[in-house]
Amino acid sequence: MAVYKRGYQRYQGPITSYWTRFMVLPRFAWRRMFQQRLVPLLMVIAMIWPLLCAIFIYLTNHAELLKGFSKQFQSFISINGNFFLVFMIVQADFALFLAALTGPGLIAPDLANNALPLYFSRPLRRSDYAFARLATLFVLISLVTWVPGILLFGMQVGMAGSDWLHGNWRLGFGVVAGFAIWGLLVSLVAMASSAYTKMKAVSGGLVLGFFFIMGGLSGMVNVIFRVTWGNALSPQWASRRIWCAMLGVDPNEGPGVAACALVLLSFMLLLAIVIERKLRPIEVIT
Amino acid sequence: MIPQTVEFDEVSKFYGEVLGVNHVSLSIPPGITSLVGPNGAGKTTLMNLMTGLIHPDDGSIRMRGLSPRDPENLMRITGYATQYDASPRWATGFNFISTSLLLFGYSRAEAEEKAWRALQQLRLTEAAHRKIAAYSKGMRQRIRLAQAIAHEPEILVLDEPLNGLDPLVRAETIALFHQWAAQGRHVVLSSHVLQEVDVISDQIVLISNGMVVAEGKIRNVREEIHERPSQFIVRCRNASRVASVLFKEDHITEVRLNEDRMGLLVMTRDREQFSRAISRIALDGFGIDAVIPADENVDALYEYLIGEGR
Amino acid sequence: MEYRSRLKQAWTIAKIELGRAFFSKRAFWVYGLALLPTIIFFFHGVQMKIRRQSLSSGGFVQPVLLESAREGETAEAVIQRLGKPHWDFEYPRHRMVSPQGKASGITIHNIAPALEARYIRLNIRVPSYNGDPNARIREMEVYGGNDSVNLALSRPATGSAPCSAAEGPEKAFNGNANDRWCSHAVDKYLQVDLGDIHEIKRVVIKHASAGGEDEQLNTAFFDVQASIDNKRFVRMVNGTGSRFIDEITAVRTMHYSDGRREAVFGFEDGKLVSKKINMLMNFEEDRQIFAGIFQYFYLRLAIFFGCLGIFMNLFRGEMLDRTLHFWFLAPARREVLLAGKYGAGLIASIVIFGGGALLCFGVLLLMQNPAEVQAYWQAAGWAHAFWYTTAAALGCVGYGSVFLAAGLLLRNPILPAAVLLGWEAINGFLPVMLQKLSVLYYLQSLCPVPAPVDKNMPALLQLLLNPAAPASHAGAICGIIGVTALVLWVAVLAIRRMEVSYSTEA
Repeated sequence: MAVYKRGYQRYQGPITSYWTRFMVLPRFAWRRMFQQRLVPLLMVIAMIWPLLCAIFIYLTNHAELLKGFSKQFQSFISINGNFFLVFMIVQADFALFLAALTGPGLIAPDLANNALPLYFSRPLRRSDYAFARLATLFVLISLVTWVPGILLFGMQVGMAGSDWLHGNWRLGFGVVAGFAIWGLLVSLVAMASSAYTKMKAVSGGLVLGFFFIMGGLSGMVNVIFRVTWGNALSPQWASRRIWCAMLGVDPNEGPGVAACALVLLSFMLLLAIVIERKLRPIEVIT
Repeated sequence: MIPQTVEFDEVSKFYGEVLGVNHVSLSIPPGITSLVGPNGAGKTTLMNLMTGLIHPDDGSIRMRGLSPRDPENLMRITGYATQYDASPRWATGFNFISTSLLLFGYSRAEAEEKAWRALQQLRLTEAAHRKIAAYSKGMRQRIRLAQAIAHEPEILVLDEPLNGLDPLVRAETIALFHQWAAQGRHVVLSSHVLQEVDVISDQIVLISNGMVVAEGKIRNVREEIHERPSQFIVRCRNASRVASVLFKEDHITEVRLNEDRMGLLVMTRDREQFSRAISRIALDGFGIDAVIPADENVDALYEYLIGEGR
Repeated sequence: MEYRSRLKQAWTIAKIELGRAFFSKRAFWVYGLALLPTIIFFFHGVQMKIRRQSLSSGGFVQPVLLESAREGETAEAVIQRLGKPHWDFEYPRHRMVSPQGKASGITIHNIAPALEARYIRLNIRVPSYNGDPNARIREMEVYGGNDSVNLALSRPATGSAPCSAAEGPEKAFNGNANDRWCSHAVDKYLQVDLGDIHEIKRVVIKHASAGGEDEQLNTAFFDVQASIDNKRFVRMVNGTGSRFIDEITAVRTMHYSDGRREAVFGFEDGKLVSKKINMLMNFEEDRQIFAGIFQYFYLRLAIFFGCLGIFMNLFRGEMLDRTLHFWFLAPARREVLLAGKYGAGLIASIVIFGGGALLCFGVLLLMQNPAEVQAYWQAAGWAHAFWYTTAAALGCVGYGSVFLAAGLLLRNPILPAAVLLGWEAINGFLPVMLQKLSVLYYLQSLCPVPAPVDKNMPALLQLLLNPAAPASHAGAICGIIGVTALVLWVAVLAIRRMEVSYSTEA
């Protein structure tokens, strides 16, 4: 006859909140990322352009420093949509390289070393895991994209006064929203390639390859069909078109905002589907 | 005359700053040899060195006269079943073995026949046409063994070959090992299950911290260890009388009576003298039913040589 | 004797690898890359054929008539002369444009709902775009129910201290845009008394450039307030200077064809503004386009990434899969293993990319006029096809060896791949000696038709572009073979020293 001594008591004390638990994954991922030498180096290099832009803003707002220059040069410098557009174009490339460098290390090793069952045997949902990884990458990219962008915008507002802000609040909004879209796209590409190939090295190349090849494809379509709508297929061009609309800059000839937004949305959907299908703790082999 | 031994000559291997194996010198004759040692002792390192997967930083290795730097010739007579669980994604069991046999120069028909024979020996014929990635752990173990024996090598290097096998298959595989050893092949395997090592092996190599602690037949190794008294079990009818006689001998350190009063556990410092004492006692008329060495097994050796060393 | 059996072994290894290289699921994207240009050219050809069908159904015009259309002609005149177009589409185009010249200085503000006021006050917050501290207003007009009556005309006006006696506030309400009110007081404002309470529906302000001054002197930021009693003011208008106005043009396109060419006439507001005559099928142009695509897309991207995928998988992929040791346990020399794997990768990539190039070229030719194709083929076509295929094949040889070696030697081979990509991209800007140090230089030398310069490149970069003269065919082939041999020798050294120790780091 078996006698069960009920001496075992579950832990009844306080447990941390959901977000604390959620942030465990990003915290450790960031720690690991910053231990690689290249990541902090790249982030420092990515700050050079915002620094130059800040100097530019300072110069523009202190016209006395420019007294010596010709009138045409003086009229060339002004903080408007075009200025922020150029800023965004350069920083977007840095964001892409950062994602290609750090993104693969997020999911590929977990899949290759069969670590997902370890994660999911804890109270962690698949969606939590995916969002945590997305957040990790998105925050990192934000640090080089819209965070310096907002700082630049704030600097300009501080120097030019609230009147300028009144007229140009669109620019601030455009920088943040535009970079949010780009950051989301790049993070999704990095995650999808990482989940798809399971090999860190290859997936980094795949991230870059995705953007390059789509750019090449759009160029090919344009040139062979002698049209301009092919540009919509290039994620960089499509994002840039949306930024132009947000910042109030005259766009280059080509497809409109609606088409570009549609294309980007379908890319993101496709990537989300790939992630959903590949991020499984078990693999069934027939 | 082709030498028939596997020779290690002062072999050392560094992994960065960590010493994998340290001045290892071995001479392994044909038969079943077990490498025994704690985790991280260097067993897999030795096996990788033997098959050329890694290169020694110092010293040289000769496998029946061939060097591991010459895989073209050595791999014809060597088969290695690693502990790495991975296998090519595209492969079914049968394809995997027959394709690797093609590299030996066999024609496709020959390769398939040999592959099939190997699969039969390891009872994998039913699952032969399924992908290896879909196998259970035990089946994956067996396919690795099959891959190692398919080309009928002279030297078999097996890393924990009985890991994950169920008892029936275990017994069959051990029978295979005996069969191969009887044919004059080298079977070098590593194991943790010391009782089995006892049963299977002809020779053992005890390794700890990258160094060879002992090498040779179990009995010979035991005999060389003088610091520890040997243990013997003596089955007799008049146990207490025999015990009192034995106590008079000065090489006896301890005698314990068994509960059934029909046996003794004797610890002696000198086996030679003990055997003479027992013979005298038997001739004197005390009925001795059996004299069994109690610690001529790997368990005891392990404990003496490696366990104490921590 | 031994060599023959080793060769046989290498061939067996290659055969085993080829099965995986060609048919694994991962290989399909390589096929996709190689076939992309073909598919696009194919669809283009189909589109052209359909176009030609639809054009022929609409009737052709005389070739001379196509060219006769002149700029400024009305649409009706064109239709009268050339007949009905087979494509006629009209739509109003909205474009936000920054106004130029005098128009840029005028801001129009509609007040909705209309406000009742007697005093209208214009406050200048930021007087100019370029930092000039003077406010300049040429005219300010206030309209009520009647759109053509300026309620503020010649009404009594006050304002902040003017720059000079001739630039007082009344100058902004005298109906003459040639004079102006100017002020550089700290608090700049201009106010007009309409005399009576009126319903205000529209305010039009003409800033500096409306009078011919520099656009940078226009008011950058201002607001307009209204009051009934000159004591309490309500803000009516927030002005940020004239940025964009919605320009509406009636745009109409008409297509005509003469059987071989198609003319696209663009009309704006009824007048012909653009005339484009395209060959329906321009063989010469298509060949140029093919050359451009071959060099910019196929060589640089398709073959680069395709070979990256194929050759990286051979060793680094096996290492990550932890199946490399099976190869090392085979009775074959390491060099033979290398040769076999490289051979497999080479065969796969040459078939895929060489075949892809040939296929694309074939599709290009298929779509054209058969007579032109015949003439071209006999003259230089077969040579072009040969050299394109050779360039693609040698690209696989060169890039393949580099990536194979990179996969053997380096933990993370993507970094050198990225560096190589960047190096090839800036190849045209480097000094001539360094330019010869790339695979792409030799491949481009082999291309029979020089690629057209990228029109989208900014002019500044075009100036810096300094491509070295292409090497001769023999030189290029030797160059690539030489680079490959060197890299493969390094790979042989690496594989002899290679040790199998799988770590958990993916």
